[in-house]
Amino acid sequence: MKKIIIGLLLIIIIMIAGAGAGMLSPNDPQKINLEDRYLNSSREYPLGTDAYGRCILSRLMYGTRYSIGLALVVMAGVVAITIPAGMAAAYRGKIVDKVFLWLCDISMALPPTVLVLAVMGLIGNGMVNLIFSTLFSYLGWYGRLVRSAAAAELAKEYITYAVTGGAGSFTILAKHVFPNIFSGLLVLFVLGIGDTILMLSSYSFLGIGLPAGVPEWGAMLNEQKACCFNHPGM
Amino acid sequence: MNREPVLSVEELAVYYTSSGLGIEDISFSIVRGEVLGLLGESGSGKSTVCNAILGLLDQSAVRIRGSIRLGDIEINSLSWHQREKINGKQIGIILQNPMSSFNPYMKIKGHFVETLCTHLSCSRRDAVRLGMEALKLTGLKDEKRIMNSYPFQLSGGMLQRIMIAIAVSLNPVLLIADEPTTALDDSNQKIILELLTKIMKEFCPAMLLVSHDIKVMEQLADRLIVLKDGQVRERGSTAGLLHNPADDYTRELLAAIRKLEVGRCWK
Repeated sequence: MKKIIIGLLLIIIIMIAGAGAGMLSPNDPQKINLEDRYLNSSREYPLGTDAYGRCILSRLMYGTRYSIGLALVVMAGVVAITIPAGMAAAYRGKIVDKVFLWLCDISMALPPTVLVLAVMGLIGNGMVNLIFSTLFSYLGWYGRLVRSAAAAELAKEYITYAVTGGAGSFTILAKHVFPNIFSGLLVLFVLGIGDTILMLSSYSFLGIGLPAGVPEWGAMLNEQKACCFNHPGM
Repeated sequence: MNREPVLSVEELAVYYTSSGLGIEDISFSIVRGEVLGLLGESGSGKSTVCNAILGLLDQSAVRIRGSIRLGDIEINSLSWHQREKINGKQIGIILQNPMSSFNPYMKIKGHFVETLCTHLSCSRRDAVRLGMEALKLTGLKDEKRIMNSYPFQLSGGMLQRIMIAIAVSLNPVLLIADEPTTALDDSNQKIILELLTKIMKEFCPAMLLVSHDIKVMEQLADRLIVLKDGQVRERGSTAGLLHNPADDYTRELLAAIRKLEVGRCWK
């Protein structure tokens, strides 16, 4: 119980920091001030400044929006696509299911990182492209999970009973299958948010995805990697 | 009473393409108020017959020949969409495992509403009211609490009675009872048997009863068909067949079941 409360508090603090970054942050995260490079923490800059003299705390707070916001958008897309498609594939079976699995295999054939790198190389840099390519690389994994959960549920006896009662396809999927698989999948999707944050940060770290200068956690880590020996405090 | 058969199955053959097994040339008919028992060991094709009548067989995995008529309608050739209207409304079903036959995330109320509203175009409230009446009929007290319970909060015997209540609440012409007592303990078996007898008297549907329990057959079935490896081995009136079996296999089967029952008494 205590652990839950501590975790919840941390999440709430991070959420507030992200949502209220405009009001709460002490400085403008983009403002470059070359006179104040590599400052240690002070009243004006609670966590000091980076190589361009930007306030690190402010950048961290604004970065929350990008890191968590992007991950939420990607996961919401994954949920919105995989749940209906996976359930439909499991329910229809046959050719629909096969095509669905082929699509999943295409998405799963390459590790997400490589896939996103390749797609970004092809269609170019940018936030929207990053979201779409990350989304695509996740679809296969979650699509298969949803499909197998739905298939397991569809094999159960109460589905047969509902069918013999005359329930139609939509009723069966929406009222019987969905509530029974969702609680299990919800955990996976929520854990997936963390995974997505890491993945998106790692792309920024590599310098792809977001434009330079955007206060994203991975990108910040990358910028500061250059001077971690001279200024370890950062 | 109307002696037109409610269900008539003629030369029904189902052939599973993957395993090569199936049922061959099974014919029977049931009139209103009559109970036909299907007796046979596991794998003898009892469930295949039921599934064929309900249209639950996977069309791509089986080949079906013969005819299944419900009243005047040839249901074997209906599309699944047309079947949906018949299942539940005209054919009521009672399954073997009440504990796993209900959606664990749906209250009992929801199950009534779903089945009744699909077929009657009534409001939720009417469906619940009809359901309560059907529950009262099955001898369950406290209908309100049951309606608002989730399946796991109720016992197997209660759920089986609820399943019967759902089946009869639409007043079907044909009831299919697939081993309705197998998963229950002795006292619940008795209750279910009495309930089914009462329903036969009050609603007078035709019933296809699948079981390997001789007690159940003796009490409910008017006629029996013995199946073995997808073929009819013997048919006749219940009393005649059980006391005076003509076929070797029937004799063997009955002896085996009786031996089991004696064994159970000793326990």
